[in-house]
Formats: sequence, C-alpha cells, structure tokens
Amino acid sequence: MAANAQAMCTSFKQDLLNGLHAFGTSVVRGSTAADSFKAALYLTNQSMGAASTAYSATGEVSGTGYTAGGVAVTFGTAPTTSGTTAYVTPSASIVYTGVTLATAFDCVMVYNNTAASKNAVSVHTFGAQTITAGTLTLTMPTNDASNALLRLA
Amino acid sequence: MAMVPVYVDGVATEMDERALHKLKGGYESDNEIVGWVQYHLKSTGAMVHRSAHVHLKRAIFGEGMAAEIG
Repeated sequence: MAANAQAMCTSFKQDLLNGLHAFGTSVVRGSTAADSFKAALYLTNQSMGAASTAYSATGEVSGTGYTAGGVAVTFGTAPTTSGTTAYVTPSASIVYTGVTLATAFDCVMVYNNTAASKNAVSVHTFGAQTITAGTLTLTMPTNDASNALLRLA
Repeated sequence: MAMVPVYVDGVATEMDERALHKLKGGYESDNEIVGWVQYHLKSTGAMVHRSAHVHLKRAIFGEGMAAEIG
C-alpha cells in the first residue's frame, strides 16, 4: 500500500470528455450517442479564444464554397487516458474543399453541433491564410497524452 | 495535362497547369507546420489559385488541480 495523495482522478477527466458529470444545471440528453461537432473558420482579429462560449456567425469567414457553420469534425476514437492525462483528437483532418476565402483568417473553432446553443469546445489559431479556388486542410496532431488536440492533465 | 481549379475575374473554372506559374512555400513554428501552393496567370501574374495545408502541432492543454483542504 502507498500513502494517500490528493489528486484529480484521471477517470474523472476522461468522464468529463464523455459528458458524465454535471456539477451545475445540465441538459437532458437525447441519447447516449456521441455528439456531433463542427469546425468554423474565423477572420483575423475577432477576439476568439478562451472567452468564446458558442458558435457565432459573427466574424466567421464567408466566400464561395464555404457554408456558414463550417464542416463536420470526425471524432472516430473515443476519449482515453494515459498516465494522468485524458485526451481526444479528431480522427481525420478538417478539410474545406473548393473554397475561395479572400479575407485573411487565422483560427478555427470546434463546437458542439448537437448542443442547442452550439457550445464552444476549443479555438485553434494558425498563421493568417487566404484560399483561392482551393482547399484548406487542417491536419490534427498525434492522438496521445503529449500531443492530442484536447488534453486534460 | 493537369487541370487546376482557378478563380478568374469572379468565375470559378479550370486551367491547364502549363498555362500557369506555380509557387510553393511554407513555414514551421511552435504552433503549426504550414505548406501552401499558388498558381498565377503567366499573362498578368494575377493569383488564381491558392491552397494551404496547416498541421496543428500545439494541443489545447487543460490542467486539473486538486483542491487542498484545511
């Protein structure tokens, strides 16, 4: 037996990623199925970040081939743990095919498209880009405890 | 003959790659690896195609803290 130690339980972190706990008022879920998520692109200087709470069309890119709200994000692998870290990463690249986005953009918001309020999950920034009659591909990091897109440690 | 999707004078169409100048570039930072390809009209130099590939490197990291009692 080892000495007791205070800690946030690793299983709890994984449970958070799976929506198991609700310390405040929660929502009635329609099923036990995984939610669907989407990724929307935002123009530069839109104050996107930790304070962003939900998807909004304000500041979102617009252009030929791009549909407001963005594209689906595939989480084909369930959240898991390694050591004391819980993590999850989309299992496929996020791809915007055949778009023209003439105004510079530099971030993507991943949000819950099942939730009625389209609650935000994360905002990821990168160097400002434009696309002309082309494809934007966002490749995900390795899905492990050190590199996964979303980690709770 | 490779056809490239292009946007010329407000019209989306395709052009033979041989009629275009191709430029490629990229960079790497702590946050991402970016590669891009552009096609320009040989006649005017106008950019008519740009695609980009962004590899996200830096994960979003939430650190859990256990509350101390006493």
